[in-house]
Amino acid sequence: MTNTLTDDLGFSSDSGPEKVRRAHRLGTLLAAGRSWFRAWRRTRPFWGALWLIVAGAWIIYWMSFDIGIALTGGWSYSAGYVMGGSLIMFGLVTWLAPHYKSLSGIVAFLIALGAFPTANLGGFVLGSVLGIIGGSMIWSWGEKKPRPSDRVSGG
Amino acid sequence: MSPRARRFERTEPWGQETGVSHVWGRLTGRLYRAAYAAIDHAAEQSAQMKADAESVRRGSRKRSLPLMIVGSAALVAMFGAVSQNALAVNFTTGNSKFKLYSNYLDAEHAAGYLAPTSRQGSTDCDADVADVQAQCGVTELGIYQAKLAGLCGIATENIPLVGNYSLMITAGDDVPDSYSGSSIPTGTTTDPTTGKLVNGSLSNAISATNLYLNSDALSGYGNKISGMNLGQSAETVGDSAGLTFEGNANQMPKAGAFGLYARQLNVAGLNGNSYGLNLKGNITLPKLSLRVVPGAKTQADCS
Repeated sequence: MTNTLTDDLGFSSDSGPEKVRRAHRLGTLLAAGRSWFRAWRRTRPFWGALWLIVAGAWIIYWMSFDIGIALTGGWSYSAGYVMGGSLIMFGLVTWLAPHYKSLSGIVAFLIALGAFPTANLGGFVLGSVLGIIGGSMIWSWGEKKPRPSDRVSGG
Repeated sequence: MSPRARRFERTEPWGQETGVSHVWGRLTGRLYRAAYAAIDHAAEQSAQMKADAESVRRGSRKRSLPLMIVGSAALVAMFGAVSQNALAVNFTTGNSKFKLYSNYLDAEHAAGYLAPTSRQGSTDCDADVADVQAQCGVTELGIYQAKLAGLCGIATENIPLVGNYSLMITAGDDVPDSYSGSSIPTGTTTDPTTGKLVNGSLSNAISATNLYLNSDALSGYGNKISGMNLGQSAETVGDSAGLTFEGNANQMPKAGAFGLYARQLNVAGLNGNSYGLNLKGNITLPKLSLRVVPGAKTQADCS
């Protein structure tokens, strides 16, 4: 019995022998998941967006207040949520809509710089630095020359 | 069309076979068709994505480097502007307990009262034991216009597997190893009658407007405090100082509770255990330095 579900989703599961053990099937499913994730990662600026999300979470960690105080207390309480939250949001946008990478990269870069004077020195500098790195990585993401050792188009 | 969807392909589509006349049959048929269409769509999408992933190599290109350099340079420039008193920053901490030292606090219009505070996921009030939502009694101290000669803040975090790490923020004049508790630290110049900071101490001072501190232990040497009103009803001290306290209902000042107000509050050798340092206004941090160092640090490590 072949694994129809993974075939349907376009996973490259090797069609094994007729009787496949459960462990083998689980392994195939995991391998299919991994290969899908690899393709997903390679079609969008994955790492840059990950740095943005880490930067945003870090800034919020150092400025986290009760949400009620953040909403009513004004800019000094909400700045962490606003700046860190936008960094996280632009990270997710980059993952889900990689088409807008130039825009989201440059905006995230500017937000990371803006977080320095507004949100605890940009999460004690680290959040701003990660945001700048992530934003630049997203902005510059694109097609690269194939490595000489690479077999283009999967051999 | 995917093999699975093909397996369910019929001459008459689901729910539209002859004999299916019930609403229920048509409804489930429609759901089936939608589900298989969705699976087909996902399969097509991921096949497209896989083909796309294998066609060309993609990644962050070299042109990210100039942007990173520009960003780092801008960050360094801003850091320099902050330490030269040219750029005011917003600095607000809320969740972690940290130690605060300052050579001299010159506060115009200070108001304080007692309040409970809750710190999410924070340490217990006394022991450093993890206790979610610890309720601690603290003093809320609001200062309309504060000038600090020297500042050293130490926050220690226990990172699992790595151990203690301290974040040290210093600004302004150097903080000495210890305070005597009964005199103004050497190097700090004050006006002999009003006790305000003057001369070099004033120009090097950290200045903050609308500064709020909540601490469970503050100590120092009060120097020439004027216009002090101890025991003023707590809900009026904010108005006296021109401040509005923020917080949830039980953190707000209560009518008839103990409060204090001082027109001019000077404290030398300030030493406190604070939960929060909140700013409504801006703060300037001359000679700013930020360090992350291993181990739990004390006042002796400030300078």
